[in-house]
Amino acid sequence: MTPAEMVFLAIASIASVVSLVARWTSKDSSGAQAPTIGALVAIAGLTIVATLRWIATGHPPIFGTYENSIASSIAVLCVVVWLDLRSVAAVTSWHTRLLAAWAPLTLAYGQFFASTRLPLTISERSLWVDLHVTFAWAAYAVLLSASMAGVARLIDPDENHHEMLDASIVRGIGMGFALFTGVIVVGSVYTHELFAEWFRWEIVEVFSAATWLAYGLALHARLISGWRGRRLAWLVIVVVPLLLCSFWSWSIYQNTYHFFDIVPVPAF
Amino acid sequence: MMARLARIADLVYHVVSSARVAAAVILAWILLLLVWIVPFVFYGIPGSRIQAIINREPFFIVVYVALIISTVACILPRSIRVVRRARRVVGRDTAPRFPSASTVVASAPDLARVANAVRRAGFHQAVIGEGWVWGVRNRWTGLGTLFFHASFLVIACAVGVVAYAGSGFTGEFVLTEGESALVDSDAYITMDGDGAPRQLDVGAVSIEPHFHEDVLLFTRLEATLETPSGLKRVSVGNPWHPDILTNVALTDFGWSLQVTGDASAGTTGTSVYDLKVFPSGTKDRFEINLGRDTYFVDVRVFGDYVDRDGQPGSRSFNADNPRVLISVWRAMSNGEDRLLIDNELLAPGDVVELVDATLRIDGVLTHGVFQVTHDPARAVVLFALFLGLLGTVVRLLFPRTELLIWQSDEQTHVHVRSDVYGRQAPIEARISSIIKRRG
Repeated sequence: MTPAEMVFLAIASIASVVSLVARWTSKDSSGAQAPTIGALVAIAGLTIVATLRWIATGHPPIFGTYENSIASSIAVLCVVVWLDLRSVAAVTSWHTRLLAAWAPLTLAYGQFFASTRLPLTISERSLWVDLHVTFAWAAYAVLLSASMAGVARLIDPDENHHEMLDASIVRGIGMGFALFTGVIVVGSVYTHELFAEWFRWEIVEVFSAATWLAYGLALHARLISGWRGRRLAWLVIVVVPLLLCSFWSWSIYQNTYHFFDIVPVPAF
Repeated sequence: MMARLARIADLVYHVVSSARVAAAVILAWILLLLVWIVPFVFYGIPGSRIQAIINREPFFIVVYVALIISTVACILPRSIRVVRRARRVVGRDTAPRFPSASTVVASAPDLARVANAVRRAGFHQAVIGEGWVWGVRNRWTGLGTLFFHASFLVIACAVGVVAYAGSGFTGEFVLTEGESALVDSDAYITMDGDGAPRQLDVGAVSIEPHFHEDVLLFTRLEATLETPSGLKRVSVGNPWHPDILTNVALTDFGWSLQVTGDASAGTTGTSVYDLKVFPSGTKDRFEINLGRDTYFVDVRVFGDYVDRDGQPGSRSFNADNPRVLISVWRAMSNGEDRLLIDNELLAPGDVVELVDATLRIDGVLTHGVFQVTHDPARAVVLFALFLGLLGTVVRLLFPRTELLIWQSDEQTHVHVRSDVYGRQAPIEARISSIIKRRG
């Protein structure tokens, strides 16, 4: 990590924490702009970090846990800002308070992994992979948002907020499911190019299949059976562990084609 | 009797097509994956065995069959409703039902101007009635549901047919730089599947592996192949498709040694040996007939050569500036082979003297391992995957959204509703602000 990268990462991390603290401490959402501004500063800082690495390595931040923690945090913060901009009340709502916490947590998690700048290995040098990862973090952020809306739906005592939270859950499941389908379809096409197989039943793909089915189930529960309120909220909360396993298990379990925290072995 | 049978059939159909049964089957699939497959994967069971469990174990087969039946039973009767809903537009003379919830604007501008504003907001199909404007955007995207479920059925059937009929073929062949071959069943080093081996007429112009700096990080593996349809560049993630059902992918590489033997009498000539000598320092052996003798040659290749205190070494994993460390035995008829050359370090062009013969190291070449896969379901599955993605994206990211604006008591009411996400207050607010500006 270069000094410039370190400075911008620190700025982004502090801004994301300030944004989070401002969300939790503001009592009234009217005129509370600090949380949104903090999130925007964090996005800008992380985008600069990603760009600096991209210039140095020739690829977007998709290689290894450290880079993916940056990409994931950008996606989560973008959803937070989008929610803020859609409704003034969202700025200090339980929904964005819970969701915004994931950005600094993820950035902190990324610090446990090597930040060495490495070029992409051959199997990752494809626009299919770039598209796959873009879909992946977008889907992750939106589905996480739906689940945090679920938690907020259960703990927010103000009944006036429940309708908005119900809408956020449904919209999150719907949009997230579409994006997750994109992740699986693009991944499947590229797996066939690489290995001539449509699906490899390794740990990330097994968890992904289970998670995709679970959100499909939630979508059917809403659209066909009319589930709403606390019942739907519980359903999207139960799926969170699966979501986390799908998107992060590769960073701790090495026996998968999605593991890219490569320890460079020198020539002798 | 017939009436009773009809009642039973109706009951069975009612159960099979119910949302509860569909949910139960999806849940069963999730549980099978989590309870059965996840522990096996963590335990390190090979991928081929996991694949076999998922393809052939009765529990999974029951789930697949139940899911296909449930999907067909669910989607067939609903598809008529879905098409009708997508076609639906409000007629000019049919007053729509005004909903109780709406965003209210305290002005009542001319409805023709409102309709124009509504069209500019994306509701292109706007109908003006007596005191109301109705509009719709993304009118047909409800059909995405049908596309998605149809794609699921097509994939399930196509993959199932290929998996159980065994009509596919996968094989590997090796080609060295400069070599051309008619690849047929004899040329494949591995073959799998019941389909006929794919014949290919192909030559390798170049094969270029490259590693990052001095570490084992593969950054390039690309071959230029000469094919009947011209030169093709093939890399790991970019296979050559001789036809839409066939992939030819470069999956691995190795180093080959080109040597020229010269003898005053008997066998002479140039040969290329594909060796397992990567990474640098790995030993392999080949046998060569020269003159009237047979020799065994032990080989180690050092790519990107560097002298490490008198010992051969490599600066990187690349093959530039290689050296070859060889030991040569002359094969004896009594089995006690005689060591002629012991660990001699040679550069390309160097010659070693053997008994009545010489051996010249011409150079280190690269060979590629190419995997050929003929998948009869490829085109169908690709089409179905994109159909499924298209269906999901249009249905869930661009849902059909209807707008209704009506006026009463010098007020304008705006109501926007998506068929997936319900009432759309932000769009109502946007339309309301447009009406305010114009009113």
